[in-house]
Amino acid sequence: MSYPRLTLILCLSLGVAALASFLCGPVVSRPSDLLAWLGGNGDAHLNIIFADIRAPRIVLAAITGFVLGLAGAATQGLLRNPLAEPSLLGASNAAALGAVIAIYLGLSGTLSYAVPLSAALAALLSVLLLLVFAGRGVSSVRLILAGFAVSALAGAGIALALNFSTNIFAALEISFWLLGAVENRSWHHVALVLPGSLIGVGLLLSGGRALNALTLGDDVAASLGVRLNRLRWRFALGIALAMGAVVSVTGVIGFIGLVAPHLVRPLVGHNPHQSLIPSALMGAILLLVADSLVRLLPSQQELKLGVLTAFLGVPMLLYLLRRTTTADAVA
Amino acid sequence: MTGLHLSNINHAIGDIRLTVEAMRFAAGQLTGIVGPNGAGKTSLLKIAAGLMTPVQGVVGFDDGAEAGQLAFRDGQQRARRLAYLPQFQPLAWPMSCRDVVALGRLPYHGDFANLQAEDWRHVDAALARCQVEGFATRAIDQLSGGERARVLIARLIASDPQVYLLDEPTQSLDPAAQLAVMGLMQQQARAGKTVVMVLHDLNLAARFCDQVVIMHNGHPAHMGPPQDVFTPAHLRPIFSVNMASIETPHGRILQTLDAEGR
Repeated sequence: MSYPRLTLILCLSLGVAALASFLCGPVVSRPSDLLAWLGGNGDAHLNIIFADIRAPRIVLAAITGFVLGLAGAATQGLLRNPLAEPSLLGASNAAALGAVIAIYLGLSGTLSYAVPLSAALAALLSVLLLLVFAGRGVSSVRLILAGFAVSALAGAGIALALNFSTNIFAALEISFWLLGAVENRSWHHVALVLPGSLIGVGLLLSGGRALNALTLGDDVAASLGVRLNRLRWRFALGIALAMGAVVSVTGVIGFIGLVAPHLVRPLVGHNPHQSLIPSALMGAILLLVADSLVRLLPSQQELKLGVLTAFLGVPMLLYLLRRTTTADAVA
Repeated sequence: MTGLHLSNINHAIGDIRLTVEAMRFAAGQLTGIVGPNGAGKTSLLKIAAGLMTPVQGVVGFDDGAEAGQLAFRDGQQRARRLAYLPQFQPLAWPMSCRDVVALGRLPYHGDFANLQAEDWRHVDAALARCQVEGFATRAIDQLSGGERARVLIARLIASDPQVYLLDEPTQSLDPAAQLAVMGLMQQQARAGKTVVMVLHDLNLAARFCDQVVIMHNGHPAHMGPPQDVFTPAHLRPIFSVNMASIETPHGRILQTLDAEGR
């Protein structure tokens, strides 16, 4: 399949997933209701549900999935490893810690840009730590272990903050938020996510071409005129800003960045540059579908999105781990 | 067309001290660098490629002393004139051969510009030159060692460089594939390009190279045409083996006899 055709198909699928997602929820609605709302008339109650509850949630899920898919593909390209993914490497947890610190220190309410900024800063630290420790084509096992260490450290930091929390409800709220969800989010949250996501996405896409050169190793990339340090910084910043933005609003939603690139890579001939945008679109589709599922599954309390993606993603991780570690052993 | 020169190089890598007073790789010549393991061949090539900056010394293109050095220092400008092939290493992703060869056009574009028709002409010409156009859409990990080596060389040719630096391109190839690689690079030299190759096979070097360099303990011990340089008397102390130079109807052949001192 050609690249423009693939991108078009993914865009159309994203549109379909978004429209379908409008119809999912505890309040029953039909496609005709949706059309009526889009046409500017229709039932007033349903219109409010569409415009103020479902629309921001859908937009947020699409942005978050887009960012997670792109950050996953970019990290994998940069580290030349199909197992690399921001949440798996501790960047999501670090961003969450940054957000918790900002909230905990009372720097701000949860609707201030200080939260995503603080989250981005912590994510940047974690990415830099990882690049220093495991940046240059190391084995998958070492990379995963380094990521685990960063993730565990950030997790311990969050636990510490919760431990010292005097307000039990605030602590509970933080723990729920950490599980990852896009429910009950408003247009304010979308506005909070947008700046960091846009800058981050721009940084990641601008460095995409160099990822192909990295396929042949650092020396070849450098000999082709790629400035490696600048590229690493650009990616670390891009991943940190985008992840900081989405994590501070949606919490930790894992495995989208692992699964989405894996699904599209065979369709683009394993070209790491051309994997970026399709992975991002695939991530948005996956997250929209997962969020629709969460609303459809019958349960007392709505299932958390991050829990669902983990249940779907972990088997995938184990499968990939098994395959790549045997490949490591052979190579 | 431009050559490449190194002068007063002084650099330490691990236990080896690399010292090169003056070395010239002239345009239109195929130069072979040989020497025992750990003699500094790869480091010399990396310094020549601008991938390592020596503690002391100067590397530059031959055209205009100052201009040649300035062009060398700018990564993208250098990449348009100089192509480098490292020793064999696995590819991170099984990209298609055409995408791998298209990497050669990277130095001609900014971050966002797409490859133009002109670039694809270079890519297809390079694929054809290396006789791998039949594999263009195949994933590179599905090729044999020889086919893969030719695809990687096509990547260099697609850059349309003036200087080629190759680190053991014939390593672990069968004889026919070795000859194909050497033939391709000889063509480039005949077309006026500067070609430098690190080689292990002395006979291959003797047969194809116009100039050879024997590296020994980080220093070029001998430089010159192969028939002058590759003599048993030169080779014995460096490679620690006794060698015989045998005249055959197909030219002179070096044969390793035994380890020195046995």
